[in-house]
Amino acid sequence: MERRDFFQKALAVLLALPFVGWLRRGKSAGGPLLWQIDPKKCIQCGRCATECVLKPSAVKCVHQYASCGYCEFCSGFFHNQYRQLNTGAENQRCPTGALQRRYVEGPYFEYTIDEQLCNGCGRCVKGCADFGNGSLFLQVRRDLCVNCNQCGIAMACPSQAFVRVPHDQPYLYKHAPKEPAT
Amino acid sequence: MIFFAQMRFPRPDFEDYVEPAMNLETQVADGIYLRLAVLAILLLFTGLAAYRWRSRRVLLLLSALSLLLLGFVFSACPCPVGMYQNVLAGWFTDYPLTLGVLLLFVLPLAVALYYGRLFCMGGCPLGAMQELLHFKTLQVPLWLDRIGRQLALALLLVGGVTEASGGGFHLCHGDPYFVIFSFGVSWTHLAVAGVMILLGVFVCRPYCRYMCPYGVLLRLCALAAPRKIAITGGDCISCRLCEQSCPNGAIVAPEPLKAAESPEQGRRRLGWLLALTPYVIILCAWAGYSLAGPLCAVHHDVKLLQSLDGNLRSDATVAFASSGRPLSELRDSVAQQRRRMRIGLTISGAIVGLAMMLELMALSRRRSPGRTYEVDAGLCVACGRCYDVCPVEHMTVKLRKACPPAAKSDA
Amino acid sequence: MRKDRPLIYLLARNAAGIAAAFLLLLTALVVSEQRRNHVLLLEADAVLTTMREQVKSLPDDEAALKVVRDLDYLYRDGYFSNERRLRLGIGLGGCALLILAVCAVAMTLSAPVELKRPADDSKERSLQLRRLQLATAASVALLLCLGLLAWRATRQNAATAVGDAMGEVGGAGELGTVAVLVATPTIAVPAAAPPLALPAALAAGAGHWPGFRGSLVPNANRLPPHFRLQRAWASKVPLAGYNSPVVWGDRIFVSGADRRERAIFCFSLADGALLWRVAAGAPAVVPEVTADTGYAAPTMAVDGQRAYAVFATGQVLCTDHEGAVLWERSLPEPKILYGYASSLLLAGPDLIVQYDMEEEQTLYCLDVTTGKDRWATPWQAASSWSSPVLLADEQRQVIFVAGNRKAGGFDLASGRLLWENSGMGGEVACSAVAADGTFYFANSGALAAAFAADSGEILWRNDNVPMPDVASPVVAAGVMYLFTSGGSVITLDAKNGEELYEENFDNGFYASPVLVDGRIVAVNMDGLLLVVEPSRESFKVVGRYEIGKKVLATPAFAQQWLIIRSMDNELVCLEAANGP
Repeated sequence: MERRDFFQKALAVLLALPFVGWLRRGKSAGGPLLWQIDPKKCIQCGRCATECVLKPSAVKCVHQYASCGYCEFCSGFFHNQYRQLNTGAENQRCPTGALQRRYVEGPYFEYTIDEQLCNGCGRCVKGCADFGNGSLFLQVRRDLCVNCNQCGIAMACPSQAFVRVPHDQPYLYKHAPKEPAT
Repeated sequence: MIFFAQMRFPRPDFEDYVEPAMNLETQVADGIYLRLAVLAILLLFTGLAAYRWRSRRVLLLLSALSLLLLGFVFSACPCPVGMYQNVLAGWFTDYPLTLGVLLLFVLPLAVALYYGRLFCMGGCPLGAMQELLHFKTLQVPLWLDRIGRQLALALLLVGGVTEASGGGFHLCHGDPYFVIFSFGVSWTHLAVAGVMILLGVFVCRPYCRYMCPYGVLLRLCALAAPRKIAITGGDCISCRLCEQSCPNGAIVAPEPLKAAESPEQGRRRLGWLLALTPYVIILCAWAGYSLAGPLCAVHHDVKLLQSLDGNLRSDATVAFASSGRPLSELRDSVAQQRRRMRIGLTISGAIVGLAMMLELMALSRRRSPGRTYEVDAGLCVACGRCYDVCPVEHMTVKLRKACPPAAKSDA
Repeated sequence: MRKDRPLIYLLARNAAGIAAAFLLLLTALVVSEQRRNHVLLLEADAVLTTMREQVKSLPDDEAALKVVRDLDYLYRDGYFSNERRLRLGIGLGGCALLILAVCAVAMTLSAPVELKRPADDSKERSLQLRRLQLATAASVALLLCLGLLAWRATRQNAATAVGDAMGEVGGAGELGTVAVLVATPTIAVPAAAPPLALPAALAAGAGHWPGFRGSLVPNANRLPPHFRLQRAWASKVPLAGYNSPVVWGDRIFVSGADRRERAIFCFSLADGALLWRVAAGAPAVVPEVTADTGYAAPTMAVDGQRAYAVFATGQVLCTDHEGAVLWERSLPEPKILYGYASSLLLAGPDLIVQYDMEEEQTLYCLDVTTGKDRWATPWQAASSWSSPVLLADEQRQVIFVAGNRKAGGFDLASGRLLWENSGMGGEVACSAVAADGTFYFANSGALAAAFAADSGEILWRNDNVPMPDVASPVVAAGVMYLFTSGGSVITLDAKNGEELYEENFDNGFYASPVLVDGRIVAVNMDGLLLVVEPSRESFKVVGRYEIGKKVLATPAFAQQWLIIRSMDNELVCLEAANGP
């Protein structure tokens, strides 16, 4: 009995050790942290759409309007070999028609994303980053993501762009534009 | 690293235009303390049901409740089974360890340290999945069961070393039941889940016994617990009816008064085992040391460096080129990971070898005469099947119902 | 053992059986359908992508357009209906699982207790023990086998691995840059190697003509001491451009552009045949340029594997030597008077682009394999038509950038602006030349000066001489030569800037002179090619040749061949044969 008692006490001490370590390290933001894409590291490889446990993927494209140029030729909307600058299917990059174009005024058009249709493939993001302002980027949507302890996309991401963010900063935006937003 | 939101085209000045809202939440609720509270309550009731009320029905209902709440209502992650990876990552890498994660890891272990493996029945959705979908018991022979449990130990150690050297949480990624809890669509995972469930129909709790890394820790803590489940509410009469009732192989029979072999034989065997142990440990440690090389390839950085050195182009090498990360830093990081894997896996090999020999020696042990049927605290998952089989239990229950109970103390 | 089972048990058991069978069947159906649809959708997507691009080249083909649009509709319809079916399948499966679980609970709760016959245990235990011993031995043996296999595999890898494992920090003198490699599988490039680090790249380039003015490395091309030039071949370049040809091995690269198209052309050195042409994609904006600058004024750069070009639209195009596009990108806001003209500077694994536009001025350093920024330093200067120059030795790698308002020195590794000097006066189109830790610069309307590479301090300046406004200076044997557009050639002492002597010609020099084999080669607007021996005393012409065409671009050298691009857009190749 004494042997088992000693064993028990020893294990109890071992179990308390992590708390000591945690106290010494200091407190971090609450809760197990959430997965998010760092848009600066993302290379738009397309795995966000295929590696998520869920179908459709929890990753969607978001549009930071403050950085958008509202261009008539939007390199995220049109691919480089476009036939005409209209919404014909042969001109668009998006395979599901999720990126939508609406005339505003002058030579300017507004581009919005229909999240029901977006599958997170990142083609519009690539076009926008390579030739445009980079105002379109991929993010993990918190209302869809189930927060796996080990995100399947994170394991497959070639640029290690999946990082953990605290609960009070669930999205990682791109750098603010130099001009103030109107 | 340069930000890519460069304003190639300046934002126009609109006359009257309101830009749409981005609709992104600024704060997300953190549910871990609620999850901990639910787990604590479930464990409390499991303890009551296993020790005080001694009712398999209540235990089964608690199991179903844990499956529903902790598996589906709250999303499956994080669960205590995988938390040891988070704790190790928090120690050895810069993964931020939080109080919630620590508590989630420690709570079932602390309960096991005093009351045995209550978590496996009343708090674990994976266990519940197996418990509820088990219909026809095929007894696993003792030797197979004991050697199979070493697999769980190996997974614990290999997974732990991988995390400590900076890899991902591979055991969470490879968990067979997770795909069901998350309603995920991954064909390999679904196939594995299907196979495990089918296996679980015939073999009780295959994951819990042979693959669960957390179960190894729970077994260790439960062995040290002062209290364990008693098969009978009264005094055991050695009627032997409970022997085959435990599908988990947790019931230990007392030695027959006429032992099958003489003490002389037993002592000699024990001597042999003790003599062989150091060699086994060294051999297994060496095996771990050599396996470290190929196993390092699970790390992203190691694969990346292999691609770079092998002049192979991949998305990862392209991303690396544009990341601005110096190659020397990558080499340093990989060298450190390899070092940790090597040391860790060598130690793991030694531990696995030691555990196998200890298992053998434990079975060779002679038990003092006069013991009754008891559970092996390290293996018993408090499922309550043995209560129903024991005739003394039935009589005691009837008696308890007939007259108000005096406080019965369990052995 | 009780024979009769309660009704609930039987009901639950049957329901569980049905639910289990349903679940199995459903899973099998859903999985097979999903897998099939997945493959079909992928194929459709690939077909659509190619068709979308092809449709552009058939502007009048309405039928093809309809085909693409119909296929796209089918794809999207198929994609989303597949998703709906999957969700339905998951929903049904979830329900079946729930029913199964409920029935299982009901079965267990209502099941009668089964009493099992106890086993015959006296021999059982020792049998189990023996088997466990065997199993343990087998496991250890298995572990050892795995260990042996892993050992052998590691030994094989170690024989071919490069500086790895136990804490060795490898990498051959990278100067803080990334040594990455590329071998794109579709192109049969023999022995693909990583882009060389700077010193190796400079050394390799010396045997070719990798950029504007031969990139100013001590060039390994040789001219015979006495030679005569004879015409080898002439080819027309399909699109106009004022950029100078660049050469690597037996290939000549030039770029050309007009309002509609921007392209790289590759000619064979042996006979001038056009090997391939590659066009850049659609630009975001096509700026206005003057006729005497055009859309392809910047000279290309080339290394052992890739060719790079930049155009007035801000597009940077990179192809390999066989004409496959490796990467392409756009730089922002290409708005500058006359049109963009700064040539590319290739520095090993980095491509430097001086992008000093009217409103914003940035020095870019692009990674040669991906085109992404390694760094991009904005600075407050003004427009510039000059090209950047690199001074690289053991102590420093400094890039000299000259513009209308100031000159600046940038560090190659980090992109940091090391110094800036506001001495420049007017519009600057000439580029500096680097020698002996000093940058020599001259531009009419600005100044003629020598800048110390580390501090930017002006070592000497001379404002009293006629200066070039297009042709860049050259320094040889301690003498700085200025070839002006008025036709005069002025020499200054490189140490103190004092004028040594002056020589006059009928027509002006627009092409920048280059140093080959220790001698200066210059061409003027008449097509008069001069080979000058550098000297402090007098203007020593050791060779002259009348090309017979107007020349604006700097000639390129490849062993004993000269390649000249004339103003009427013809590529002329002259051979320097030995003789008087």
